[in-house]
Amino acid sequence: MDRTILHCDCNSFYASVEALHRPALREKPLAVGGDVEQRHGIILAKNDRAKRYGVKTGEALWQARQKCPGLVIVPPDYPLYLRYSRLCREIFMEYTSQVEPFGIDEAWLDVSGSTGIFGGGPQIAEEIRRRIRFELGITVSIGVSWNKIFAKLGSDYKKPDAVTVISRDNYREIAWPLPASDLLYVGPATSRKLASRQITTIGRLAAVDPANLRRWFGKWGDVLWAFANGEDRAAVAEFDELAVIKSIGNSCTTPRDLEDDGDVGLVLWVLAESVAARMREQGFVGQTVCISVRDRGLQSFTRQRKLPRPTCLSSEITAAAMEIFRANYRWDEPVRSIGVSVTDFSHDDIPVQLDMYDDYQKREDLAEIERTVDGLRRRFGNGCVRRAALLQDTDLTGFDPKADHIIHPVGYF
Amino acid sequence: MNDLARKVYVRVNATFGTDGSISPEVIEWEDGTQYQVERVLDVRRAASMRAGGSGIRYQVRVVWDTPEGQPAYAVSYVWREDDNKWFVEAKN
Repeated sequence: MDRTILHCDCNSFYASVEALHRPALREKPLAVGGDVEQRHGIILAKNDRAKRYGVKTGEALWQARQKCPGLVIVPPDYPLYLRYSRLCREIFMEYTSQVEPFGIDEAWLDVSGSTGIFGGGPQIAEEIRRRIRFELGITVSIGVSWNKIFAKLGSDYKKPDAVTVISRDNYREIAWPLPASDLLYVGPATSRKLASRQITTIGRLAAVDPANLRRWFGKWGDVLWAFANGEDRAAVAEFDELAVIKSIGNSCTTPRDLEDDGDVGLVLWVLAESVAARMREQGFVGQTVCISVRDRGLQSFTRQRKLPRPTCLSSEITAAAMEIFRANYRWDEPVRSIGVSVTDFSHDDIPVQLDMYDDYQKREDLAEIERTVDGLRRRFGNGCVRRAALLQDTDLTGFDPKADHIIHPVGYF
Repeated sequence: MNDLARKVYVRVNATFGTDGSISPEVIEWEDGTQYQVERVLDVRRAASMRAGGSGIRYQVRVVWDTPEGQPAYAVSYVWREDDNKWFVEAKN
């Protein structure tokens, strides 16, 4: 039997939450923007009125102001958005335990098991849509289908505050005429490749012989074909399953461009300390360190390296990150933003194989020191104990990635 | 669209029930007037589009003394936000 899957998308989430709390601004073009001083001066979200002026997410604040002179830009309040995200999820969880968040403002729900209690998919979707508007004062658009991909297409189909059903009876009329690039994970590169073969819509993609797609895209071709034909079988995860954290990372667009290895080292220290502290909170040690670098020309890359043994020490994470950076960056351009993440987790209480030549006592002591510092920072704030090295340039190191970190969608696969 | 209201945070005396439920007993207005909550008519999570915000919304029947010393009654909403701040929608 077909599943009943909902995809709920909070419309212009940040902007909607802000507008709710600032009723006087509701009728004005409103955008949430980053901090220009910190060089995060881009539009993060905008309301419908701002959208009408052509204001786009990701563009510079000055560009947006040029298009829309009356634009009101407010700074982001992430704790508030997280609260509303949680409140939405609490409503979802009343209908099913299979709630899979996709970023802060989207989620899939598999309600197949509760249609007997609450009525069919469209009925549940209507109820959720009405409740979120009444109880939380923001709007969602919801797609209902038998698979996650079409459910997501449905939630994009009609906004805001709407429900779209894509069923086996109507998907040819609703989903197939849409551009192929509307499909999840058909990005600019894939859609360019498809377009060069006159495959512009989802319907055309569905009609291509899967053997051809496989030839063009490898096994990704089969996935695309399944997506277009509504044959994606991916399950909606139980909410708790996602609590299994696969990686912990922090990144930062620095207050000024980084000019040399010394600058990079300082920022990596701050990031690694935050990553290490978050790992210790979870009781993790990790064995793979990954860095991401973006230069002033906005060229970016990521590289990773496996460590000889699992660690939760910020010194070892920093050292590994710095090694990876040195091996991969040639300083053609100054660095604009940089990130560190650690994956490949195990629990920090598993027995470890000691090495004759390794000073394990010292590592143990270092871990104890870092745990002590964690405790001090929890009680007295992030700035209470700092590394002397980081005081060389407090403009560069005076941010707190642990408190500022925000949620990004994890990959679909 | 909808007329706007002033969001006014108010002092509230509330009772914590043995089941953890919270119900307002006295609402103190900006000018110091005390409104006795005679009855809670409805409790639900709701947004206030007029004042801006959301939380647990209590619909209450309140009674207070007018300056002439006469009792007066009204039915009104009071919201409890997630951080336990209480607000009402006031006329602009």
